[in-house]
Amino acid sequence: MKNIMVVDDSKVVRKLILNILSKRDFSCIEAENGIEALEKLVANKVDLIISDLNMPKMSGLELVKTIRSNDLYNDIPVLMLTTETNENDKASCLEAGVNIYLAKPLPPGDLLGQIDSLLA
Amino acid sequence: MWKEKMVIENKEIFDDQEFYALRDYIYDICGIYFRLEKKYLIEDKVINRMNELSINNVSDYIYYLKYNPEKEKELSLLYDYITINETSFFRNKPQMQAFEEEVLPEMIKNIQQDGRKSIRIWSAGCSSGEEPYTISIILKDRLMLDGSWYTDITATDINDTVLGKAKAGIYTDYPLRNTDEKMVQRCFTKISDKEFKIEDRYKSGIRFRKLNLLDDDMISSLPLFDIIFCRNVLIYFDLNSKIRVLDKFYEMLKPGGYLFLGHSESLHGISAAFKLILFKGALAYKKQ
Repeated sequence: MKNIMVVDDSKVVRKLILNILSKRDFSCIEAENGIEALEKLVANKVDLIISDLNMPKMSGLELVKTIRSNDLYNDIPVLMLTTETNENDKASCLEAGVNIYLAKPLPPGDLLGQIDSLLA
Repeated sequence: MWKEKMVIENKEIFDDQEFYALRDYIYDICGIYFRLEKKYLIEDKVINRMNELSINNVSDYIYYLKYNPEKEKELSLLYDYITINETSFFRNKPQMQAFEEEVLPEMIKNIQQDGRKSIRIWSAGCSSGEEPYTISIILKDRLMLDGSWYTDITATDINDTVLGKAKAGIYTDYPLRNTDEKMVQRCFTKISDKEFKIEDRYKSGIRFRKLNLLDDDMISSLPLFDIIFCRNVLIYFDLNSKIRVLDKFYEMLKPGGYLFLGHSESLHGISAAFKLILFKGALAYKKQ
């Protein structure tokens, strides 16, 4: 079973994503910002991270930069799922090591398809 | 009558009100907080002790704890009942590896740049000594800090019983289960079939003392530290006590100092004063 971490400061958004993921056999971990995500990353095996970009305490971009600079975690795929459509933000994220950058809202089928491609 | 009640009513020994009274007293004296569903953790031991003292209600037991001439001894016993002292040498290997290979080299370099050759580390909640001795082994055996370095490890706990064990430095092979055999041979002397004693050179530089993490005055009497370990201690506290203890840790750390918590513990929602530093399989918190 693959473990997916969902990082978003909105509880509603996390629940929506978890609901989509429940259609498949994934085990899910929630975090409400980058700091909590790192704390849970150390304590759990994580196969994929779905993260929002703008979050308090530590943004999705900072989270990705931290993970990519760490030998143990740098190959975990990261899907950034955000309302930000600014091309500069997208470029920064992709340069930092985000694997796929997608705009919310996303049809459930599309999200699951992207997840499949990252976990393949 | 009390013992008969125990035999007849074997399951609900404390009613909820009795438990809350005891729970609130424990919280007031040391910040350790038990939720109702954790009643079972302390119920049997405390009830047995009350029987030994021929005390048949919690109010009288609390009175005994507060006013009896033997109250200090009784408090020591109570702390023994309410703290779980599960630990081992080199507990959480990734974290100790991060401490040895990442944090210490950084700290040592910074300390030397300041013109010092001393390092101060606090093992807060040291239990029976496995953690401070592990730190000492890393400093002296692994990093081989020579005699020109002053290493000071302050090892504190609220529980007299485990502090006594820590000072003795004698262990069975169970706490050594994460320690490789060559290190055991180098750092310990086998004193019986089942017992190992830590070599004196690893005891030197460690000061064991009794300390309640909510006693601000006592904590303020300590020096500032380069590194603080407080692993699997904060889990006993409620949010207010955690905030209080972490604020104190921040105050007691030198700038650039590190705080290590337990594997599943988090500062999330408790303190934003520290910066999270991620290592391989471990993390620590740094005072900026």
